[in-house]
Amino acid sequence: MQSESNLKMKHKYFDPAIFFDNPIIIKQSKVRLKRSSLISWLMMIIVICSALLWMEFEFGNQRYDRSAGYIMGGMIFLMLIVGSQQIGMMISTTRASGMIDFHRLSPQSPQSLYLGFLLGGTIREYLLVAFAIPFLVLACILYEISLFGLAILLMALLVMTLLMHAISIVAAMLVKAPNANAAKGAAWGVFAAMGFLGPLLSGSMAINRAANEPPPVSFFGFRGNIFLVFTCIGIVVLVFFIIAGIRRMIDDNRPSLTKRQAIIAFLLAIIAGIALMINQNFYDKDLILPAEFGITCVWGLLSFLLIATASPERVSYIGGLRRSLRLGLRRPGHWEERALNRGVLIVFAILLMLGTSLLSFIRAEKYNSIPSMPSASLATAVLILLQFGLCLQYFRLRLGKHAVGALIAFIFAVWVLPFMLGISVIIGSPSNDAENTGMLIMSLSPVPGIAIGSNIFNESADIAKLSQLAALFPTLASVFIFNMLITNLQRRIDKRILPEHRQPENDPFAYLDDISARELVARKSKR
Amino acid sequence: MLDVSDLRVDYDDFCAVRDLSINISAGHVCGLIGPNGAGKTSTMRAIVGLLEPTYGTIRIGGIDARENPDSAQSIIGFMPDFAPVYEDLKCREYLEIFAAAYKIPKSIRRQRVAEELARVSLTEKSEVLAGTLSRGMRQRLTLAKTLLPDPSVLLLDEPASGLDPNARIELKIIIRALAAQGKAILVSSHILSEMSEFCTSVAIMEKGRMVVQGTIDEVQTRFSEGIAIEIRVLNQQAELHEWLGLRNEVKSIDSLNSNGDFLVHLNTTDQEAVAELLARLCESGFRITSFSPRREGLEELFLKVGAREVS
Repeated sequence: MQSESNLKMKHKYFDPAIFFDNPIIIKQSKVRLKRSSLISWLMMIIVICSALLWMEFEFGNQRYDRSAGYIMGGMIFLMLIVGSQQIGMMISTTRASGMIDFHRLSPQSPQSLYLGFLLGGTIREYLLVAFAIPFLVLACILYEISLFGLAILLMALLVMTLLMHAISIVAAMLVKAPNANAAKGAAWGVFAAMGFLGPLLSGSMAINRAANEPPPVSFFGFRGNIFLVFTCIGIVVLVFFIIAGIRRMIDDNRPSLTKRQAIIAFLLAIIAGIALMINQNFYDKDLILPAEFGITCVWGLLSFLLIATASPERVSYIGGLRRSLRLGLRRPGHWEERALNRGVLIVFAILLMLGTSLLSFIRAEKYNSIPSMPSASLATAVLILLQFGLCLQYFRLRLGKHAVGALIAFIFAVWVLPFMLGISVIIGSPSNDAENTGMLIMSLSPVPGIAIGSNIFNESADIAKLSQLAALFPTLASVFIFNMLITNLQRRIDKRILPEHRQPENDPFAYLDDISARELVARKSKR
Repeated sequence: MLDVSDLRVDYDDFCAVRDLSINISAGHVCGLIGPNGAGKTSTMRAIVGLLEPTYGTIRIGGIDARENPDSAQSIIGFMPDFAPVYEDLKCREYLEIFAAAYKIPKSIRRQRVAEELARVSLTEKSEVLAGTLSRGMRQRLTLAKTLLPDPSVLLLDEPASGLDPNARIELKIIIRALAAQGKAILVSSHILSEMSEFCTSVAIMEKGRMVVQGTIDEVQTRFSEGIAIEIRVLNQQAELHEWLGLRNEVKSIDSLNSNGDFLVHLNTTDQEAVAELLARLCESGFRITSFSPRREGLEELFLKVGAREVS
């Protein structure tokens, strides 16, 4: 009977119980909303907000925008800093104690589990912020700050809060040994790198301007409130982090995104980058090339993160191989989680090539005077992606858990070392020849190679051309080498695994271990 | 009720469970036995879905656990060897949270929680913080949590570890009662003497492989080299020893104690031979006060199977 009721539950499109009867939310309410501590927290919020408003009224020439900014700042502190810390800690302790396995074992869906952590972990912070909102609204009304603008700011705050918490959940689920501090650091790193923190803080610091006259931004021809655009982009990013979090709720060892999801995420990033470039009018033409280079770098960094999710570990690949052999297949399909990343790399390379070419084309259309990015530099940009992806896949397949260390060592040797050597040559002897030599040495590292080859630093045409080649060839060579190494390693693994899965009843020569012996028997029987 | 076939679990290059098959019918208790590292816990974790097997089929109550994990998990209960609890919640609150997770209707939640607390003798601790409980009590609380959804299949990994003698007796009673209700139960434990008291079948694992599986009688018959019988007679010990020494079917005779009890090993597993021996003893005029074929304990069986596997 129990199973039947659960089956019925599963087929519902939406089950309100995941909000109103969510075990994690119930648990957090019982622990974090205990009457005694909650009353003292609420009193503190009421006293602080009232004091801010009163002090502003008495001593601040009735400029309520400052108090509104302080209240907004306090809300950001509570939601983003305290909230993300709370979520990171909660997930780390739930994982470390093994309680998360108990929830996984129940018929509670991964979505319900995820929602429980996302909303339940910071239930007290949400309540405190809800209590502060009336004071913020009062301050806005008194100083005639647009309530519509304020609503957009609050919406942006809510989306950024959810995004930060979603990142914290993924980070806390990703760290190998549950460690709240490592998860917290990683989450803040990702959030800051995505550039969401700056606009939110500036919005709270100048709340009057942010709500009444928000700076406009163009996005695919749509010219509107920067916070609204910012919120829309945040929602798209949030969706991917929610998907990653839910996948981790199902299984700690699952990659955060499937290969197809990673491709969609990258495609959306390419579209967003192009949209940003289409509508921007650069008054200072010297900024155009660096902007294009910057967008390419962001794509590159994002592609590295996504490639990392699409590259299986050794144990995962071998497991997939065994499973495929059991099903009578030769290898896992290209889009399966346990398949090697080469299929994804090709799609990523095509997308990056299209993205960088389009950026170059758009720029050339708008500003005829500026030459487009040289094709060798475009090729290098794509090759960097392949180099990183193949190198990571090889190390994961060869070294398993030690892959990250090897990858860092490789990146240091191939990317950082030439850059540092080039810099030291330039600084060491400030002659023109030495500078050119330094530039060429720097170009051996592919990212500076693209920058120098694209003439970003206004160097001579000869140096730019040589830099393009200096960046291109080592990268191309490493791509070939790693591809070959992966193929060889894959063959070695196959050779080891295949005999274990030979089906004796279907193979009359299964008792013979190697092919040459089998051929010998076949020849004898022919005679 | 629980049907596992060709299960394989790999950790990196190490194969923890290799092509294992196990079947437990409703109302049966199967003891999963094996030394440390044999793959017992990996098997259990793979069955309940906490570990992704490399391959294999797991059917729980006819439901494919990998195809429909939600449905399978609603009829399976798993109790790990080390039982965590939410330390900042009271025992009742802890169970109520899992009652919500198992989608037990709100109207009967409190009643179910009270029933399960009573079943594991923790009623008086219902308002005590779970974090303050002793290890044995936590184990009992986890058992109550496991039994909340009234699962049809139960997997208990070392359920008696940390329990005091009284709690162990209670656990035995609970397991027997659950089996009587028609549940299929898989229990792993190192305390083999206790397991033999409630297991209807055994599955012995060694290095990730299932070495032997079947009812205890079947396994005993398969692995024993003969039947052992305890015989006690009145005042005729020397004659009996001499008489037994002349019988062809008797392999060896051990003296059990100073009272003159003998342990006689037959070189056959045929029950006919046992009946024949008793009949001949009576015919020969021995005054028998006790004649009982000795059932080998699980420890002896495990040692025997293990030794055979190693050799």
